[in-house]
Amino acid sequence: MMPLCRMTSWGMQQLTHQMRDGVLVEDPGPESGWYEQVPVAPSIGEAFRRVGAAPIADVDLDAEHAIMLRETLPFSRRHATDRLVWPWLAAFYFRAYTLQRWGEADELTFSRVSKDLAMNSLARLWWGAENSKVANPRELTDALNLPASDDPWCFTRMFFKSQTLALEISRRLFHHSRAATLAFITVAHRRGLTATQISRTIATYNLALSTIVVEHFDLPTDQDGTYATDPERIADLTRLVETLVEPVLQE
Amino acid sequence: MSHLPDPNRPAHAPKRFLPYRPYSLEPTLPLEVRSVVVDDQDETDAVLDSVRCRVRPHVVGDWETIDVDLGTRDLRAEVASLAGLEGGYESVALLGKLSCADTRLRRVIRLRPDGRSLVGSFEVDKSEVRDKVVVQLLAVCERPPDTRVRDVAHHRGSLLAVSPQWVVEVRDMAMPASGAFDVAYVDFTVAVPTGIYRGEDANELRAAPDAMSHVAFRPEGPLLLINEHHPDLRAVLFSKGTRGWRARLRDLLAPRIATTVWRAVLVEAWQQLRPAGGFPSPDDRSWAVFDENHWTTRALARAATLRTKKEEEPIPALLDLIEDEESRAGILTGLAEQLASQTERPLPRLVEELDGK
Repeated sequence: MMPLCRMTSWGMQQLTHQMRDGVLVEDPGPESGWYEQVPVAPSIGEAFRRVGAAPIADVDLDAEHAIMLRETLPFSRRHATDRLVWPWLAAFYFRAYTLQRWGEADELTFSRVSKDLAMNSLARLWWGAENSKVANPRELTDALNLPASDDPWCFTRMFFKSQTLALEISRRLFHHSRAATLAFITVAHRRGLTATQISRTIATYNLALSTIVVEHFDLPTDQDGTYATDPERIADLTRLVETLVEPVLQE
Repeated sequence: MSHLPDPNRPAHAPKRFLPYRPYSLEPTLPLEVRSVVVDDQDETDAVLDSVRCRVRPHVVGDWETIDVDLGTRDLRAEVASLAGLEGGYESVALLGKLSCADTRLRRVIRLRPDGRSLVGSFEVDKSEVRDKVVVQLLAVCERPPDTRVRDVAHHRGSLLAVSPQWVVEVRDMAMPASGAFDVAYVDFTVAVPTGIYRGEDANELRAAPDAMSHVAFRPEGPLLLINEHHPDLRAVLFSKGTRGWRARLRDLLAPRIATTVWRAVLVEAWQQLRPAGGFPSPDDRSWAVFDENHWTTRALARAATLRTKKEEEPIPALLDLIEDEESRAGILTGLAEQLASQTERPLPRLVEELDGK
């Protein structure tokens, strides 16, 4: 099993060049200089080896894949924002998955193996799960009038239910505030927003959040990495989203 | 009718967009860093730059975690003025915010009252940040939304006031591992104590505001000061490329600075050896009494060791000579005399000549 690698700048140039025609090249091998090994903690190296074979690609299985990736790859934020790791994962290590999930080779676009964390076929899954995991699901679902759940990944499943929702949230800066993300997911799920309604509402929501300190709605992260969130504060943000979504629904 | 854009409304937001703040956000809340613990060692004095609101843990070496204590003075007057804004805020919440733009880390720092002030703390693990971390004290609206108040940020959590930004610089260390000197970047025009620079030779620095570098002599060793007044110099010296004008300038400047530094070190060493009554006769070496703890001895030995490690062929002669106390004074005197007569000659050639003899 290969160790974790990251693309070199030379490798990214070559990959960009090769992907101009929409063809995802075969792995050129470690001697090619396209990528180099990443020095990681032994626990991450072991976890990475456990990922093993590529998952079966399916649009409906995005949430499951995201949870699997997040649980199996305990990256630190420093590793997870290393923009040269994800192209290697998407283009070579999980090549079969990327090809299968995002169409045949002649339809695949470069963005799915690029450094863009919102578009890369693997980074979008890992970060989607990272930013929607909750430590107190029952408390939150009860307070937000959602179907009761004890699943810490219940918001992740809602997040990946709509491709537009996942993409629109991932591209916004507020994605990295768990409270702001959960509030929008909640309203989109409760109201059953269409793709157009999501796109229009989220633009206004993003503007509104520019005057609000979203950290005010987060609780301090515990040392063990759990993400407890105050239901009352999330509910407060959902009321803001509700006021913004009303005009969109009436159009 | 004024057509000036409202600076507080986000770009492209419709004019009817609410909530926005009709007043500017100048830093008004004071926030101070009270202590910094780097890897369980209290390094507050070394890493804290209060003038520029910087925490620089890398100046004490590579680090893994830092634990920072924050505090404020009595802020009741500021909060009262915020509460008196148009719209009548019933309550104002103060909280700290920690963010790293590079790794998208956003975290809240809860503050607790301590007498009349507020205190709080945060811990940063180097594995979750990169480049720099920004810490700020924020005052936010803490009351239920009230849309009856027009043109004022009315939602809970709306930003009311901010403090100056404290920046935690995230770097591996201040010097390469093989560096022979401590290095500090100082603006020579002001020469304010910063980090490991404790204000040595401040008057000399201010007298030469355009100088590129200076060597300050301290009991624990020489400190190379590089003038931060030149904004591009630092970028050039720290450039890592092998091509381009920055790399060429770096290759040009680094040896020049190194030669200047070593010349200053040797002249200082020679000054330390010179007796109070003037130069002795060549045969009289009784004055050459060394303090083994003095840094000149250690600096030369360290330099020789580094040179030995770097060269393919070591220089045992130089090491042997330096370890021999009796001839040490003679070498230094000879070097200094040669330096005095040939000040423009680069030092490495002198060492090679000495080695050849």
